[in-house]
Amino acid sequence: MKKSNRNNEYLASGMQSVVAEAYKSIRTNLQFLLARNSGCKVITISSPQASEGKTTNSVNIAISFSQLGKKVLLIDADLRRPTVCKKLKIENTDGLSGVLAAFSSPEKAIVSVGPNLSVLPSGTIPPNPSELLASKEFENLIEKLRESYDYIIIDTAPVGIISDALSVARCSEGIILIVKEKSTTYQGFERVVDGLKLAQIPLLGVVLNGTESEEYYPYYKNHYYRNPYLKSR
Amino acid sequence: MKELDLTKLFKICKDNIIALILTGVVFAAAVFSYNTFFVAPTYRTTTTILVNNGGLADVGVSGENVDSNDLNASLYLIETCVDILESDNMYKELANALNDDYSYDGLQSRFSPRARGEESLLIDISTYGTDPKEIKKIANTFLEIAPTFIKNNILSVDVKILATAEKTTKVGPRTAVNTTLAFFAGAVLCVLVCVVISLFKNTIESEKDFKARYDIPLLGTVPVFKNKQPKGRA
Repeated sequence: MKKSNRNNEYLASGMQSVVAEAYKSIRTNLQFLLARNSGCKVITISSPQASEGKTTNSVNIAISFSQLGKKVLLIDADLRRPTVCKKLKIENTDGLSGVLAAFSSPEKAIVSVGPNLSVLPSGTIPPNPSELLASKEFENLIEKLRESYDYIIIDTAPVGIISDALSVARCSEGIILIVKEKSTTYQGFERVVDGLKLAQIPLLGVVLNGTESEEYYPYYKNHYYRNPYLKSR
Repeated sequence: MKELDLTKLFKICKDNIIALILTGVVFAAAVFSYNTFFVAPTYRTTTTILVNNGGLADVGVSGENVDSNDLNASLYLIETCVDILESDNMYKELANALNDDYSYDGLQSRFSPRARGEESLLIDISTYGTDPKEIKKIANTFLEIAPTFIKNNILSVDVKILATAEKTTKVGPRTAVNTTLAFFAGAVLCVLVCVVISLFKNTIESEKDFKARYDIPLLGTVPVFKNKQPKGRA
């Protein structure tokens, strides 16, 4: 497994931001939701449309779980517009696409970004992302990775636009939808929910992103809104 | 399209209170400016005449008492006298008396003779204009020729002048009233626009909106702050 050379400030403990608290709350709710599942929990994260905060939330949820001392793997399964590596500023030359195409192995492709958090980048953009994600190789990969991690968070393409997330979610405990306040339409959201029902994919829940909140700020006025990647003070 | 109830309407007003107030203020400021700088003030003066059928002319003078028939006849005459004072010929004579400095229809639009009450023998003649001195002059000229003109049309009538044009009152523009009305008009317009926008809104508005609409677990909300972050901090 490769180690990132970057100084990963966002993994420092002692987070005090309100945003961090929000993710802790999401983490706790997920733990309760998946309490009956033994072993590794695989969670797919997607959104009805693009730019609703899907990748940001995937990264932050993964970080939040890692701070519990759990071994977490974040997989960038958006093989069309991967952004996890951009957000974490790690290289994306070797990743999921290479592993699925048998050009690489998980051991070589997975990058450790902290004591409990690793990332499997998307790798180079393949010509056939849907086929790769729907393949038996992907299913086998997830099954193999379950042995090594407590949580696997999979960031996918927007399920309302591309059906890749459905293939990925079949290998997981369920899917979390990220919706954005004043941006996600009712029709878009309902269409996705209907699609998930049709594909018999469990919808674990929804995270509402971008809620406007003045009441937080006065209470926390000695703390400040942090970089979404949870930089410490 | 969604339905709208009073609580939603109140919420729309509350959420857009600043826009509401600003729109009202803008409208009020525009009307105030217009009334103050672009509209010439209008003044009014009022003259009064007493009209009767002639039977009441000598009451008290020659020892005679008021005859109710004369009184009733006089009361019936009042509206006729008002109509006479509103006739075109009256104002043609007035224009003539004013040396044709004014057109008769222009003068006609500036006068408003009215009976003071249903049981009153008095006719109040209001005169309007933008120059207080001018309206006094034309009102008093009107008063000079009105009794003769009425008598020429109703021979037995008696007309006495009770009040000449001495004071003028500013009657327009009603800046305070117009400004207040403009403020409320602006606010109402803003509310209407916000209501129309909200009726066509089709996005998830808030956590409360999501919970009210869907029976799906909401795992959490990730906030952003309306207020700016303190300077120098990430």
